[in-house]
Amino acid sequence: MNYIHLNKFITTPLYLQLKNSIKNAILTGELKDKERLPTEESICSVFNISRPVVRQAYNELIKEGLINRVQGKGTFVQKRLMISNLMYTVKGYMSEVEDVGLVPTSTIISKEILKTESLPFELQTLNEDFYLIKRIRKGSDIPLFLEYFYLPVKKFMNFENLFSDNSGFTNLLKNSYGYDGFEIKTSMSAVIADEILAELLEINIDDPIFKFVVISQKRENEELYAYKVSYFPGDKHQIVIIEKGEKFYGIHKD
Amino acid sequence: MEYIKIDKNLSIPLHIQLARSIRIAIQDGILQTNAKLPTEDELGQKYELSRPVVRQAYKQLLEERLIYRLKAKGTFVLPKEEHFNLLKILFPLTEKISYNEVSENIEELEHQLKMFDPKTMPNLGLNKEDKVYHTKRLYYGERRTMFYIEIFQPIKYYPKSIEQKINSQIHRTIHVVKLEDDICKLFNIPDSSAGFKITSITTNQENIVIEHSVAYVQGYNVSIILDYFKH
Repeated sequence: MNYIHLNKFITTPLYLQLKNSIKNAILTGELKDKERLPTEESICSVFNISRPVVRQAYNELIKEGLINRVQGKGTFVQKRLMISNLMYTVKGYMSEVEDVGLVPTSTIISKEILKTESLPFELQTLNEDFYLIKRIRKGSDIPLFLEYFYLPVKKFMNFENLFSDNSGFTNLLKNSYGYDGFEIKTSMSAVIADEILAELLEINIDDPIFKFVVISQKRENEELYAYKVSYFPGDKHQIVIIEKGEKFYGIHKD
Repeated sequence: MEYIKIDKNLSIPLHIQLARSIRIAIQDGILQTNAKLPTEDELGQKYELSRPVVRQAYKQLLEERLIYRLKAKGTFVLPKEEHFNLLKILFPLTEKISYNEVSENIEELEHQLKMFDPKTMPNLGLNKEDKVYHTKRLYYGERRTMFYIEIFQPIKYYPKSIEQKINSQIHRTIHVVKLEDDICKLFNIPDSSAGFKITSITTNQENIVIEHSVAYVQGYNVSIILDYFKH
């Protein structure tokens, strides 16, 4: 249980500290997939905390899909980790990484110029050269996701020098090039890691990955000006959606 | 252009008829990947369609990502990948099933009342005497099989015959996974393709699980539009 860190002298509620300790241990791999978690009783006695505190931490982790409870057997780690809302707010995502005690970093790994034939299909039709800048986001040395930025060279002169490790992509386009009032189309697909992705994300070849494509285009003429692909390894990510409301339910007649 | 079927005597708007003809031709393979579509002028001359009608039909097909446009070259059939708005389909899906309406794009593989079995069924907080409806379905998209879903509904929470309005909360979790071979076969895609696994747990106001479903969405040449999440 040495991955659990509780400090009774800080204002962060104990259940949250407990929850984040476990979450962190899962993310760093200290707790392995399907590994059994300590029972409520044992955590209570080791850390001298009350049962409801443990229960609340566990219940939240269950809701987030990080652990699951099997009747009569115990509580177990569920391989994939909760990091939702990763589709549009990198900022929100990164603060979540910080919440579990990891130090987020952002590093550009390559900059190149691609000719039409080496571009993704959607960009080939534009018949232009594109910058391709690859950036990796990590949390305390664990690769969390990869970003590929594609931008037409002609419209974004000098982009490779302006874009740095921690640049906000959208802000840079807006502040340095005046691209604003754009429309964004996002799509998500499931892909298998090839050699390059496996190496960069430090996962195995053939591991499943979430792939997001974000296309930015001008609102007035739908002219495409930026194309971004992000890869999130499936062993560390999941999306959670909660929907509430009145609905019709029923089952079939016999 | 024989695949274009326009009947001006019908009450269906012309742009819808035009879009539908092209959509069907793409689905049936009459129009192949990268095939060039007729220009506004060609359609105007042959079928006496106005430019706005053609433009509206093409705009619709562009939005459906069935076609693409090249500047000064024309409009073409978009290859391979199919995009669909998963969430638009997914959100009403369980509802649709509950309505007992098996529409033409859903194939029911199994629908049976079974005794609750904790070994093969999800944790529903039930006893062994409880009965559960177990349903397996395949859902077809425009051009291919999109997803396979298994639904578990404990019968004791559905006392009032067919349908009832329930204040509920649905908790969905989406994972990206390597699909099992038997699921790949259902989708007719190569073994070990990537896909999404969506677990949906519906609870009522008393926090009791009234429905548990697991859907596998194929990721082979399919991508999901996320406009739903737009702010």
